[in-house]
Amino acid sequence: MRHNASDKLGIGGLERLDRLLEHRSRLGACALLAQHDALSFSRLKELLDETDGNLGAHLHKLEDQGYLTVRKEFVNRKPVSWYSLTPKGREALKAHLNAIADIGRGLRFKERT
Amino acid sequence: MQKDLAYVDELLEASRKDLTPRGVYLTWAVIGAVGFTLVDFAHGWLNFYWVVAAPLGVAASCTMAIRHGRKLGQAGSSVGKRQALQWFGLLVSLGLSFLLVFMNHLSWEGFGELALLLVALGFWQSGIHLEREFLWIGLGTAAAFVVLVCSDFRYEWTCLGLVWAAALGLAGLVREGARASQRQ
Repeated sequence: MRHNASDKLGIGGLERLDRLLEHRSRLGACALLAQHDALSFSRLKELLDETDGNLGAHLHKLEDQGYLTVRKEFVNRKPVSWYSLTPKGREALKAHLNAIADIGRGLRFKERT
Repeated sequence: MQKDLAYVDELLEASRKDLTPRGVYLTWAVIGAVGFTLVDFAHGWLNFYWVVAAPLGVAASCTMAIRHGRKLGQAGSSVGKRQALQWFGLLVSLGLSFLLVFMNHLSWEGFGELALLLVALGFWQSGIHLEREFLWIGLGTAAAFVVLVCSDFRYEWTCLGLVWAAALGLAGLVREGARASQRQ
């Protein structure tokens, strides 16, 4: 694969970062959902160590962007929201992680030269 | 950014923990204890027992793991799929090793010992890739294999069954205890 000068320095990576995934909790939620078919709101809250309000807002943003889908069901008369990553979300996460990796490579290249 | 990646790694690691419910440990403790004891006391029932109990145990374990995952708030975990493939692979290799007996390459006694070694390897690999506790069960089973091959004690399989049941039962209870203290 050929790299131009900006790619070698990781500048291309900076441009390809997804603004929505720059927040830790949103990145974490997407990474977790890439690993599991679906996670409940309470499980995401426990793993991400977020409050109900904050997590709800983050997930809402991801849902609005089409990165997540939510399915609601009742278990023992209690509502449970199950979140899943959409193909668009998966692609965005992959591109974002690739961009971070490129930036890391660029920084190491800069240190060597 | 490196910190973000490390954070994501930690999250994924945390989500892979505690996916095996206590019921799975206890199910295999009972299946193993009965199955190993049959070698000494009712050898004629041994093949029938394992052919029926092993697949039923796998099916019950999968069902319990899926229900546990849903209770935990995780569905369709890739770790669960890997677990299922790991144990299905062990079951198939045990089934295929029957061929050695049918083709007269191995005696029934040798098959029992080979099966034990395969089970030890299965637990060892599962311990490396999936659940750390299984490493010790793998090591213990390998040690039991050495004792069985080298000793000539009349009720060695019964002893193995009891030790096996105690180890798995204890692992299940320790797991449950750790989970309960985490919840508090």
